[in-house]
Amino acid sequence: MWEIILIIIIGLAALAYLIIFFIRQSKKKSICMGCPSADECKKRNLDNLDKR
Amino acid sequence: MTDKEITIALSGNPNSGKTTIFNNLTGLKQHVGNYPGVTVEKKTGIVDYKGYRINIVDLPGIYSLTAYSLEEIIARNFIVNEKPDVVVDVVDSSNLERNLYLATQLMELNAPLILAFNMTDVVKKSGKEIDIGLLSELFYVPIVEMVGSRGLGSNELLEAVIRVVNSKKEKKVEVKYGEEVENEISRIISVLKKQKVPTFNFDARWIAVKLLEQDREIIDTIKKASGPKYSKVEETVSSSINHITSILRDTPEVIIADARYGFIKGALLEALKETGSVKLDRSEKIDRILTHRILGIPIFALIIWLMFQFVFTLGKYPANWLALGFEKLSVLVTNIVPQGLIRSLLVDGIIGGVGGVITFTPNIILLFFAIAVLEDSGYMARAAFVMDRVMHKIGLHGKSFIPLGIGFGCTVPAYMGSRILENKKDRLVTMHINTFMSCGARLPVYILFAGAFFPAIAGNVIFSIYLIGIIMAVIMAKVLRATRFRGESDPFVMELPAYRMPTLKGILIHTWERAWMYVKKAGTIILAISILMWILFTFPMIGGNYSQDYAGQIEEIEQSFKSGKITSQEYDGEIATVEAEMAGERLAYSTAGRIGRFLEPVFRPLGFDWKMVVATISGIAAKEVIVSTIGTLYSIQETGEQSDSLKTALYKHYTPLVGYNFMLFTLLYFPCMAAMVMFRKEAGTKEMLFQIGYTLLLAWTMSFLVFQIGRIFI
Repeated sequence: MWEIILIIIIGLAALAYLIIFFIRQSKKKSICMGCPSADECKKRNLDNLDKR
Repeated sequence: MTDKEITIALSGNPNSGKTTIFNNLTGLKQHVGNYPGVTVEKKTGIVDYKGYRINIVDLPGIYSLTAYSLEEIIARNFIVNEKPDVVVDVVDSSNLERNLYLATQLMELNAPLILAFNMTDVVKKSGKEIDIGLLSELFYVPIVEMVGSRGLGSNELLEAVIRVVNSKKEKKVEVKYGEEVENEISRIISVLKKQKVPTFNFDARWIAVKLLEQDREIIDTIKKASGPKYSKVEETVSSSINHITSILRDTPEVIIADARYGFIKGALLEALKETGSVKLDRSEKIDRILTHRILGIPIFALIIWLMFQFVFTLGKYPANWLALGFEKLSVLVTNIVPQGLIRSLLVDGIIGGVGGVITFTPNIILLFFAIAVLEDSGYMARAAFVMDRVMHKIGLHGKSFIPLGIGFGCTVPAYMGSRILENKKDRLVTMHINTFMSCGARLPVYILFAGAFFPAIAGNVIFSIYLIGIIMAVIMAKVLRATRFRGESDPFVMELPAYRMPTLKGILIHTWERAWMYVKKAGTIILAISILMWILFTFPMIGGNYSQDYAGQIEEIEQSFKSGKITSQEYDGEIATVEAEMAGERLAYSTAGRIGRFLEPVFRPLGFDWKMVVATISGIAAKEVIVSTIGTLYSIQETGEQSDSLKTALYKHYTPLVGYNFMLFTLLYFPCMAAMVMFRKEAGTKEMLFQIGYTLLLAWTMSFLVFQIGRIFI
């Protein structure tokens, strides 16, 4: 029984993570992988550079 | 009577024939003086033409606007501070590459420009032909052909001046300096804005470029005007210069000059046709072959083919070691954790799923390494140039190649990158075909299936899938251009930077950034999805609802073994068969199994069973999930001593035709959910739904044809 409870908790956590991930993604202005041409990408790159 | 006054600044390289043209235009109406405070001669003249009084200022002869000499500073300050109505740059047509450098800088300065191509007779005699119309379209500036020595072209020039004065300039050429420099430019612009540093009449981007070039005149002017606020700017510029120099092993000044020459070279390769024999330098000789009208595309294809051979052949060794490591980890967890659901979740769900994806990390690293080498050496720009011609032919904008190229890495930024296309139709068509540029997430699926069904020619098979993607993109672009998105695309210059020896640091940074994203994704999203997929594959549990009496069958096999009717090898085989059948029934009974079986009839004409259907659906979340789902599925099914590697299991269950067809379907149906979110943001819900609908239909139709026709022959 405890196995089922643990699996339910893990499953709900995984589901919640995915839901939050996709909601954040839809609100995010940029998901960038090195495209210098788009403005949002530029900004994101700047943020990364500022951290440097 | 003259009612309107126009001021023209006449600029140009020394010996470009500028003075001859000045004399032709002004005749005797000349005045010679000095520029204020300096001893540089200032010549001015007047011409009355069609009701306009045109004042012509002959600027000093210069090669660039980089402020190395007094003449350059005077010319630049006159253009910026005096704001002439038109700047006429006299270009020696017989030495275009060098003369257009100044023209490019004037374009960057956004001056109201006319290019006067002087000595065009010399060009024709030397066996060259300039496509003036095309060059004018590419540069967004009017170009007038002139032969100053014979007084030809003066009236045409004055006509062009009047046209420019009476029209509004809409488009401006922007030379791109490459990712590293562009990032630093953006960084400096942001500091300039944040510190509210005065930029006078200059554009912020132009100032940033000048600061990177260490232009003393601009530095001093800004320093004086901004006071202590400049220290932050200085700090940023200095850090940017150090960063660029360490990555590209050259100063920003040299890199920027190279990019400008690259821009000129790209334009001339389009517009300058040579009919006679011309002496070429080494870079030009290489370009003659790599960007050849006919050979260019096969060479590009060959390089990409070699890249996949490299990615697969070299990558399979570390990939196999990783796979072995995960197998050992599974055994370890199996021995430590008692039998039950938690063990199954850990071994089948997490290790089977995430491990399946992590295993392909070496291949991903090698792919991004190869792409970084091609980009940093300057070849990618040549590939873009070669593809540019194809792009035009299929009705796409040349710039489309940039987001399409990004699409080979990840479709999400590729959709965003489409923004560089100003024309909406160009942008939408590019986005709609970008899905066929096989992203890095699909590579693990191809490596798994090609390795399982075509181990000897896996590299070739993967290459064929990528090639089909490109061909489909070309076809669909043509179809979309002829139907939903009719219209012409704007011309543009494809820049050709000089060839460079890539630096190890630069390549490693580019490779690391992308490979880390892949590993991070496997440890987060893929992990979460693997857990959920395992739950869907496990519940509801079948209990005692098997269709056959498997317990009885196992008992019978055991009896036969004990009585000596079968050998121990036969015993193992028969037990494994029964256990596999039981596992198959358990999976089919689960939620995922029910969904898969419900949709199976739709996919059966493609040769897919319900397991492939489930894997395909799971791939909507992220394409790597297809591998983790198959990993989980076969890990559950192939339990026990007889468990095979994933590739062997696939080979046992499907034919090579079905395996290839599955790769094809994975290539053609729309990319992941994250990409669709981005598509909606960039193009709206209607276009996103169109993308989902047409790619699904296309994937189904193509896979149907391949399977049904393939079945006749195989």
